[in-house]
Amino acid sequence: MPDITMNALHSALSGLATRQRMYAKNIANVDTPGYVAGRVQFEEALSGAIRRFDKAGNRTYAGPTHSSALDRVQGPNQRAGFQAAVGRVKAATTHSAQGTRMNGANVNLDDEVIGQEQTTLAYQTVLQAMDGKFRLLRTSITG
Amino acid sequence: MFGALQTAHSGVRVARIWMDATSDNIANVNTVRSTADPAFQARYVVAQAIEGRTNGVGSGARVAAIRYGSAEGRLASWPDHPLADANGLVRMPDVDMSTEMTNLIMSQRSYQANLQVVRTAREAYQSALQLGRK
Repeated sequence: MPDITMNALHSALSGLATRQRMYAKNIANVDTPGYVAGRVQFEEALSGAIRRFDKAGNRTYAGPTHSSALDRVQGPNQRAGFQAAVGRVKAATTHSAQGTRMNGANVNLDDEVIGQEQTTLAYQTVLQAMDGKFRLLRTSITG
Repeated sequence: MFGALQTAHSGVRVARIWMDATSDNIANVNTVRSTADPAFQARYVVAQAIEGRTNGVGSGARVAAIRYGSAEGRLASWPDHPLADANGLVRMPDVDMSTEMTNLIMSQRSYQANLQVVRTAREAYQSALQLGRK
């Protein structure tokens, strides 16, 4: 049932939720000495996973021709594996490169709050795309 | 995605650094040094447009460089100051308080204006999102 779109949207939602949690953590630690703001990246990993899936779909078999039957079996399996990988993209955490203040911390409240706004909008956008997907599904069930 | 938000964010960042620099200048307006050392140098933020986005529209501003004020400062007579030289002179920073106060107001307004853009852009994008709802 879950298709590539659902998987991609799922990864995007969980990545954005992780990012939102990171912003909350950064704001909570705005005055913690030595605290370096965290940043969450998942977009590149997600687009990479989707690219690998796309490639697996269009791939032509380069091996000996007699095993083309085997490839026909392997092809869709591999594709399913790549599709599942699109739904399991892990968000990576890095640190903000901003300079630190005298207490060793570098959280800027405005960066975090604007980041939250942006993430909220992105979350709503992805959620809406998912809602469209489910609406389609509901229509096909109920007619 | 959300270009106006990112643009406004860059403006907020520049205004914040400008406020930081101005407050540092004001904080050091009475920083006394000995005549053998350079005076405290005021920091001035050089903003630069970020070019190169589609539709011929730029994508905000960034701090290109920090310029320093006079290292010469001005010499003041302060004979009983511990840092005074043989002639009773000390080096004071050449920070013009009225310029700094004006900069402080301008940087504050710039910060607020950019945050207003963030608010407006958020509302605009949100109404675009509403379109898709039933």
